[in-house]
Amino acid sequence: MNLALLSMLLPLATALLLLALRSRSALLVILSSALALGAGSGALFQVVDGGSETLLLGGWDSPLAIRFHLTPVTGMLLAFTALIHFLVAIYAARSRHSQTRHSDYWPLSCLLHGSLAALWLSRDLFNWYVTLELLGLISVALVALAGPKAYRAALRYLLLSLMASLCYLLGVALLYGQYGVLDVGLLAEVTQADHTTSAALMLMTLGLMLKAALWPLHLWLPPAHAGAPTAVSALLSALVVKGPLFILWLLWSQAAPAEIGQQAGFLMAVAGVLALLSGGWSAMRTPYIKTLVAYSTVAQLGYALMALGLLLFWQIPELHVALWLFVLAHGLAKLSMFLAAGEMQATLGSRRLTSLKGATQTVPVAMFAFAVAGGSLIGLPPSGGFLAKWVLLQPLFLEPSHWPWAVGVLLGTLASAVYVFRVVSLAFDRAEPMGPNYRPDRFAQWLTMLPALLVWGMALVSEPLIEWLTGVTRVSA
Amino acid sequence: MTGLWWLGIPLAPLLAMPLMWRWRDRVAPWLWLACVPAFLAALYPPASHSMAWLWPGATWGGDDLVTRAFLGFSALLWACASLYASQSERTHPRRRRFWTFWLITLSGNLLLIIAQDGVSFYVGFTLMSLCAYGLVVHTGGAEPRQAGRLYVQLAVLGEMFLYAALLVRIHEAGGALDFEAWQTAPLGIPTAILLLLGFGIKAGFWPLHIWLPQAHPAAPAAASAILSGAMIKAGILGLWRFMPQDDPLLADWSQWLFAIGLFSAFYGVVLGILQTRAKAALAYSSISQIGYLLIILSLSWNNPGTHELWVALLALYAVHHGLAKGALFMGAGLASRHRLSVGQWFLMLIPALAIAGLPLTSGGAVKTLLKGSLTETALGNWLPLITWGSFASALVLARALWLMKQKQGDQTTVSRRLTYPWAFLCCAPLLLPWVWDEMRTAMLASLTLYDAWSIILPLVVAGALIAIALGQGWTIPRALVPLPNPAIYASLWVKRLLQWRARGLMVITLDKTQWRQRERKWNRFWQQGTVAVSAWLLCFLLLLGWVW
Amino acid sequence: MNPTIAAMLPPAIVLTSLIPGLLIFALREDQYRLRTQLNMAGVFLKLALVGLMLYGVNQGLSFRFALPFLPGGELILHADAMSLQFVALSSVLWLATTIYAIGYLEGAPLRSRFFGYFSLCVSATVGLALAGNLVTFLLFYELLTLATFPLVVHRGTAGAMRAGRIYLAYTLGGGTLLLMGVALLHALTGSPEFVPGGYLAPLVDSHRAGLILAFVLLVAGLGVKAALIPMHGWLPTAMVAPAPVSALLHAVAVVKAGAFGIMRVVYDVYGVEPMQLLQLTQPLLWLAAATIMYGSIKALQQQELKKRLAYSTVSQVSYITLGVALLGPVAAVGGMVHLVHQGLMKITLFFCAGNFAETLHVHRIRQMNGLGKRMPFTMAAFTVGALGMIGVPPIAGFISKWYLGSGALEVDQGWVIVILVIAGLLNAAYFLPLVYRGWFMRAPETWPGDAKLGGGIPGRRETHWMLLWPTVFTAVLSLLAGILAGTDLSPLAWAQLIVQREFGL
Repeated sequence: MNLALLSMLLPLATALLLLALRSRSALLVILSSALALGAGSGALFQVVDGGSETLLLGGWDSPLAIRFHLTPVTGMLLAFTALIHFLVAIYAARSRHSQTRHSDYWPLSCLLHGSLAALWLSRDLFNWYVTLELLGLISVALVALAGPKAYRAALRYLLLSLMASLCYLLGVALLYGQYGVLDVGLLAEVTQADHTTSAALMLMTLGLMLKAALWPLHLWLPPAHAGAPTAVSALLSALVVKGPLFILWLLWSQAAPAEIGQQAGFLMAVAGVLALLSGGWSAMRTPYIKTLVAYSTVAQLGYALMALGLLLFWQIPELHVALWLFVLAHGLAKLSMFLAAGEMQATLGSRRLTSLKGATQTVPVAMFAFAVAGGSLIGLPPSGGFLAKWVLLQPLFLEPSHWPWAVGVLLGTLASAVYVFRVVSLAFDRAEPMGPNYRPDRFAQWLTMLPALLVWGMALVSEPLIEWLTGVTRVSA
Repeated sequence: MTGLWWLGIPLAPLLAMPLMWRWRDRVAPWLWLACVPAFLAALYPPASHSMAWLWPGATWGGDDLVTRAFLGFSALLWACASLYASQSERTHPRRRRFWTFWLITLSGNLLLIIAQDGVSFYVGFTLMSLCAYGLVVHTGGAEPRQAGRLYVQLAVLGEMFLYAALLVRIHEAGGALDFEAWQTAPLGIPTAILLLLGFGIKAGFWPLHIWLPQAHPAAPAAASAILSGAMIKAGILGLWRFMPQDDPLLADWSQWLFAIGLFSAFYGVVLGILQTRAKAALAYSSISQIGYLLIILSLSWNNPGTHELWVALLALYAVHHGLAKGALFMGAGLASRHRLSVGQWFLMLIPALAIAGLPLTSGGAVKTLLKGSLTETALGNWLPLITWGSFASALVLARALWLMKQKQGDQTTVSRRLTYPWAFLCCAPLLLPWVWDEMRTAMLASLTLYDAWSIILPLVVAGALIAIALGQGWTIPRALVPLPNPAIYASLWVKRLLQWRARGLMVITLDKTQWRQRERKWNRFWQQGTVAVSAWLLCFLLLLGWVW
Repeated sequence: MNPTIAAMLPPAIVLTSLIPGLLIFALREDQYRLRTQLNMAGVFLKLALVGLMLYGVNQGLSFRFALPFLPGGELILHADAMSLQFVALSSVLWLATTIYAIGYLEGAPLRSRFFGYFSLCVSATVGLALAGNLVTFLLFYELLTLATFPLVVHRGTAGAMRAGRIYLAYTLGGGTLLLMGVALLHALTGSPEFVPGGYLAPLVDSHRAGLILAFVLLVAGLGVKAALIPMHGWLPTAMVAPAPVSALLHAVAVVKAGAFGIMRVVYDVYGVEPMQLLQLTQPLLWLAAATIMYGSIKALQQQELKKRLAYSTVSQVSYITLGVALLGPVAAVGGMVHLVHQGLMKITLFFCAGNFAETLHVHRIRQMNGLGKRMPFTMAAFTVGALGMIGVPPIAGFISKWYLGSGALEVDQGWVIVILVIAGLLNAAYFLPLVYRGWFMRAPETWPGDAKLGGGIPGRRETHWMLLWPTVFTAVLSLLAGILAGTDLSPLAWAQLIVQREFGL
């Protein structure tokens, strides 16, 4: 537990330090995120070996206390967050095109990391509200780093984020009024399927969906993610949207009564399929590189939503595994993709997709990274995305009545294949290649490749990973 | 060792091929040597040998009369024709191509004769059939091209019929490939039809003869000799090999086949007389003669149990006609360029008369044997027609010789390489009875007074008629000279049909710009009002959730 | 043989092309010599290993390598008779194609990229052949798609891009369907190793609908690569690729991957009896027959040499499916042996087309007049390939058609003979005119172009030697495969061995 706390506190402390010193030292951030990564991994190992741990802040007893709970999933997410932050920090520090090298990015990203870690550890509705609010504000600030062009998107993001927080808070208040507790574990024991509960859950869910940009409340995401500086886009897509998803998962799979869960699960699954389709369609049509990647996030979140929804709808525990595999695979792949997209866009000097003509010559490694990461998004074996999709598909095929859902997955896969290869095939177009504006930066390109390789590397440990997740998601949560 | 010997027969021409490519003009005069292994095998047949390391089931060999006879005469004919062609094609610019096709065709022809299993036969048959195309069109120009097209169309069609027949036949024989096993496997109706069509196209009896009068005259003389002498017999051999001897189905059909054979015999003559080119007349005569071979086959099927008799007759007839017709075609080639001496014209008369059935020649022998055998069967009352077949043959051959004489060339010096093989073949009908026991027996048997008379009489009548015709200066009625030829038109039509290009299907064109506009509008709606739309959506979803 | 070595042999065979491929990516354009050496070292090493394995499998040894991958579905590479036939084919043809490609691309840009992907493509093909269960098969099947795409678009022109997009649309779509099918079966029983006779028999009663749907999905997915109608559309357009690529796509890698997959699914996953119980054979048979007809008719209407060859591939590859769908041992021999025979003949034809195009810029059928005089060796190879496709003995194609036909009669499907005959006629109709033009028509005064490769003298120096000899090599192989079909070394003998093992005869 101490290591987990360390993993949360380190970035927070770094952020405070940076603010206090008015320093913009990248090195410090990299160092602290590396340490946080070490601490997170340590916590993960501990929890795998020793089982879940609980920490009651301030020494009060539940129901009053703020409870931190370290489960294997939390440990995993802590390490994952630190890893991604670490990679993004290196990129932000090292890449020539990083717009964030000498900006407020560094303290903000550390804050983001810290509040996310807090979110993973918390098991308390109000605590989550705080972390969510923090996350939202920091994200908006990070988006705004891109300069005046991004203000509009940032502002929308801010407004909607606030609206979402309000909804969430309203729901929390209703639940508190009904049951008098805020801890998820305690709520799980007392909730009943009545109108107030379902209204509260609905409010919270919609708020969270808005924050996680789940279809149809995703409208703010593409401009914000596409407009943000590259490092920020990567962080937002790979990590931030996963926060509300985590809360949704815990809320529904633990606190909510099963009857309401089943009804809501169906709606969520439908929304997931529609997210796959509409996100995919938009990604297919958009003329901008980063917007394409952003829409792909919308689409890919559909898988997660579908997994969650079906999990509630059918109560099949394997779908937990699918959900978290999606989170991991998508995080890594999207990191790689955003970094590669940003790097290519900056090197080639245009935001437009058409500028990627001939990219296999001009920025080969970044393009390759994009393709490799895209492969995982499509779900080509043996990538992480494939594993996730595979686990998701298994229950879908168990009974003939489940088959129609597989069509959703099929269409989603096809759509993702189209938008990924739309980019890749442009890159092979040698007819009139765009000359790069800058000399391509090999290190940055290879850096973008790293997470993509990691996500394909998940295949190496696929069987233990799946089995481990099957074990832990069943007991933990 | 025996295996090697049999292998050498079809392989010899193929091995000669690289040599020919390398030293074209020096090797060509010696290519006739490629037939030597085959000829020796015909004289002293080694035991059959299984060649299963080639395609499965391959067995080559054969020391029976039919195999030996076919092998012997084919080798002889090919050798003579090779020698002839080495002179006649000496200066042709594309002689390398000619010899390539020549050698493969030879290889295929020999292979099909020594094949003791269906697949080997088919292999040889196909090689021969398809490569002969190269011989047909060798001369170049429109006429050989049209003839070749018709030839190859029908050859391929025949191949496919045979392919199907082969498979079905193997199936009927329970997977066995050798001809011996096939003799006991009953024949199905589709198989019989496929076989008759497939081999009939090659053999060229009516009504499957349509390519023959086009292709044989179009080819160079040596090739025509091969086509008419050796290759059409392959069709008959195929029928003989593939069909069981004592089969009830064939016994039923044999009368009809007999009728077709008989009709072919006279149809060929009538059409032959109407021709204005010697080689065309000769080609029609081949159709007529193939009719007799078909008659022999049908009689054999019609009379179960008398197998031996008809085998001998088939072998004798094939050898006789093969050599004689080869001689005539080569002679036609000679006469078209050279001014022949009287002695040479007399030489040319020998094969012609032999085909018409003059006693003391091989022709007289086989005709008599045929008639003798026919009288003892149920179809014996058709005998007179066979007798008068000699008369008809004499007429068409006289017409052919007359045409040769009319259109003979004016070169006076003739190369020995051309005349010697030709002269040798011309003498073959006379020589055959003295070197071949079976033929001698038949010839001696034909010398009874009645038999001799019955074959001389038609010849005498024919001679008289010819004399009158020459004396009166009869000509072919003008209306009948350029007979319309539907086969060529049909062939052209098929070619056009195959070249027909489908028009593009209806292409649906969407007005893309309009859709693009709509999409833009739609996108703008969602993007401009992100906050408001999201807020409304939120409310709507709350409502929906409440109602749900 | 040492069991560890035996277990490492299958991955080693995959790696012999994968590692050179990855190394080649890192090479500069001008490192011509090193690249060639790497390529050839990989080729010969692979051939040696495959030879070793052929010997071993013939002796009844088993080569199996497994890695944990998915619950219930390991990553298995194993060598059985069926996979080795495909492996041997691809290794031998890889040799020919590599030499050909080196000659073909001499002086062209981006050769490192080309040869890198080329090697990846072969690795994927070999991996697919050695795949021991459906999951592994799926993995390599998708990798093959990814590795071939850059080859198809290698030229980078607008036409190439269009072809590439169409290719991707079809193959990725197919890959997704295959994924669905595999996942469905996996959900029902997991993905056990391929076994002769299939492993689904116990499920036939309980999961009828599931098995049928899975079969439809699998065949639809595999049918894209095997170019069954209506999934064949990518193939003719993919013709814009460089000739070695077309050769590889059409003869070895892509279409064969599909056909091979169908074989695996029918024999080793479903098994003969469940196929009959589920009534899946007839539809597959009709589909194959329809494809044969359609491909032939379309081929007849093409005026471009490569397009005609492409449609001919559509038609010819379905012979394999046909043989498989007939579900009898003899027909199975026919189908399996055609996998090799069609590969040999079609690669010859594509090499020839490439030679014509590179040497004399002859692309259209009209321009082929008199080629036999200018390029006799190539034209002779073309003739062998074309006649073989028609089924003229003693070229390899005849052996396949013989066994297919006999197999059809064996299982009382006589109508298949009619299909074969008509297809043979159509084949003749679209191939013989080319042969005719080449040998019998007069050559034009000037050719559309003359790249002056190899000296330009008819005969041995008619074109670059690296273009000529692979062509002659494959042509001779396709002739030998027919003439020496009865020997123990022939593809036919190997196909019979496979069938003996598959059908437990």
